[in-house]
Amino acid sequence: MSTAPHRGSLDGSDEDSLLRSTAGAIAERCRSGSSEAGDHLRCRAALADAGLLELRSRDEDGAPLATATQAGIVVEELARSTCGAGLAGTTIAAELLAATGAPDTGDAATVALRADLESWAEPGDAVVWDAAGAARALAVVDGSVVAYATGSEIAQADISRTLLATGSSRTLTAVEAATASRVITFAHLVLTADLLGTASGILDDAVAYAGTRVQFGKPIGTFQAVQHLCARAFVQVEAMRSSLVYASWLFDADHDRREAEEAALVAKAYASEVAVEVIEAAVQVFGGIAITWEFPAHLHLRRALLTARVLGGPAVLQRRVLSRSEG
Amino acid sequence: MDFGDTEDVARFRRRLRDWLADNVIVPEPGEPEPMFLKRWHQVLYRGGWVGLAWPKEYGGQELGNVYDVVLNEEVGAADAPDAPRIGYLGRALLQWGTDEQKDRYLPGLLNGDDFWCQGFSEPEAGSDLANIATRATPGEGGYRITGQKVWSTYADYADHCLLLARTGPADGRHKGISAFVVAMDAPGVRIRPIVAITGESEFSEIFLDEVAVPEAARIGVEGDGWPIAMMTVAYERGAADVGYLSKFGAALQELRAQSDLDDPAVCTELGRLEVHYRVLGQHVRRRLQERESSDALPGPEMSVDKILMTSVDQALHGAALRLAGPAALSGQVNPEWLRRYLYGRAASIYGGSEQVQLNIIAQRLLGLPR
Ligand SMILES: Cc1cc2nc3c(=O)[nH]c(=O)nc-3n(C[C@H](O)[C@H](O)[C@H](O)COP(=O)(O)OP(=O)(O)OC[C@H]3O[C@@H](n4cnc5c(N)ncnc54)[C@H](O)[C@@H]3O)c2cc1C
Repeated sequence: MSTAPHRGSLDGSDEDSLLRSTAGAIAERCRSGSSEAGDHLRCRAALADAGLLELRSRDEDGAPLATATQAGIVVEELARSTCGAGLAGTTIAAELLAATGAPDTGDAATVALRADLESWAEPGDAVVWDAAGAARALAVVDGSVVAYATGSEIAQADISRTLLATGSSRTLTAVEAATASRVITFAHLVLTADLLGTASGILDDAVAYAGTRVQFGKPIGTFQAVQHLCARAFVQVEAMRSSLVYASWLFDADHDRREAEEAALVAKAYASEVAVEVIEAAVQVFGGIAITWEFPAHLHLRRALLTARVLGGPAVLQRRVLSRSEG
Repeated sequence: MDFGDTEDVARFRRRLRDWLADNVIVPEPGEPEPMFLKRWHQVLYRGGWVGLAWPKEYGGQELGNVYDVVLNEEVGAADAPDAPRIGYLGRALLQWGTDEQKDRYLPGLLNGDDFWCQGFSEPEAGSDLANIATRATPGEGGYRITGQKVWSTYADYADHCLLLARTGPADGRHKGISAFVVAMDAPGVRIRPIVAITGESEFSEIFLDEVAVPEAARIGVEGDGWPIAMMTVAYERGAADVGYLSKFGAALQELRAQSDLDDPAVCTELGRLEVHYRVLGQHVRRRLQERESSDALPGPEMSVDKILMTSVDQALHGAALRLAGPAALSGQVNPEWLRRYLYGRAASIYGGSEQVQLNIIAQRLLGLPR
């Protein structure tokens, strides 16, 4: 695809590039599948085989197997094809377990959120997000890591992911505020990467389509109006990528947690606002076909609308950014 | 500019408001949207509220155009279903139909008994409508039509289709296109509903295989269908002609009722939407008034209307998703706002895309060089 070079151009190492191409190959296969639950599980198995579900597990020295930057690369690639294998939820849950040293029972975990998705689950208000393949869901509730059993499916807008009710819960371990907030920062990076992939995946398709769809005797991509639609969306994608790369680097460098936290807040706040706009632009480029169920554009739109809310929607995060820069 | 007798209009508004208070209907469980809208259309018609500016002989009221705006506003304020969108398809018949055609088609269109669809777009003719390939071949007593249409809204419920087909040479562009009324139950018509972004089947592909259409079903002169098409799409761009003013009014009403009006940020957002909605209404009033005082058919100026209408549609429904909060998305409330938002994204595509409207405004209204 013509814009692929932009995507990897910020990858720092050969390892990053390799990870991107491994994840990209799985995403490509995912794309040709449907959004049936069975396909999600096949995808999940492929991710597991490639070791991509354990990016944030720790080695014997306590170091994560992959950096946050690398986790972001993998999450972005899979989001490009609105993969529903539960990678984002799994990766955030793994970080929570590893960071808190909570006993890992080995059961696949994702995260439990409030029903409005804007923060961790609360007593009496909990759903299981990004639930494909997960047997339990973790959250930080009142200073402890709590594990919820999964319940029945909840119908919602993002049909690429599974949302479940929660069952019984039990407390695993206590968690310090600083640790909890670092996990949230990590989660913001993962979610930003997911939004970036969800948006840039469909934008790249729209750009390719603009080069082949002919109206008035020429490819629609020759019309400046269409070029500008694509170009503006690309600017937004580039900005999302810049903020993600910077915030991830700060997180991985780990010398100023406050700054890393803020950078991730900014990245997630921005992506939550513009990812949907990028996808709306792509829909516009496709014209009528994008308004159909068969065509994947709406899967991207729906996914971005919900991911934008997870652990803080634009309004919540913008306010948080503002209140921090006041102090 | 004269917007008519304000006292008459005020009286009409009061009468309509009283009537709406007692007559608004709600969908039956499982009733498809088009059937519900048809039923509402019939109720409105029986109340005497349809075809306000239309000739009496076809069931209209021969009132001024501005009454259509009042109708839209009141229907919206009552949070009633959309005002009927007879305007845009009927105009072609009114303008170009023979007396027999008007007698045959207009009463059913106005009273809501007949459901119409529009068969213009084709796979290779979206924005570039002059590229249509569906062909009408003259034969004994009429034509045989063969080809494929796409995106035809509610075609699966329609009785008639206003359809464009080529009667001239294949490369004739906008010359040699003719307009027909095709009976949707004619042999050779096959309809394949397309599931829309909302998950509902909203539009359809129409396949036509040697469909026999009598000469009496051709609207206007053979080969001269392009102005008919252009007039139809021009009307389709008017917020009152398609009943959208009422739809937005109702949505605003609903949004306001469920919003936290103690939150200043919410009030700012709602206030802005209200202003833009009202401006759209004022603009439509002016437009309809202009129509009254001129014989000219609607033309490129309707692209201004379409851009305004789309911006209200998309601003309103984008804001609604934000204001209704995650509940509108995460399955806690009726997903109606999501459905409307998704459909709002189509507003800058159907009836001529946003880019095409802006081209028209730049080139034909501003006279910028091509
Ligand atoms: C919900 C819905 C309902 C519809 N209902 C009907 C119906 O009832 N009957 C019917 O006949 N049709 C209907 N349509 C079809 C509609 O009219 C077409 O979708 C529309 O004309 C655009 O055509 P297209 O989808 O082929 O997109 P394309 O024409 O392929 O456009 C793709 C992109 O290229 C851009 N573009 C194209 N040409 C230019 C140009 N010259 N300059 C700048 N940009 C350009 C467009 O703006 C768009 O962004 C409906 C469509 C939708 C989405």
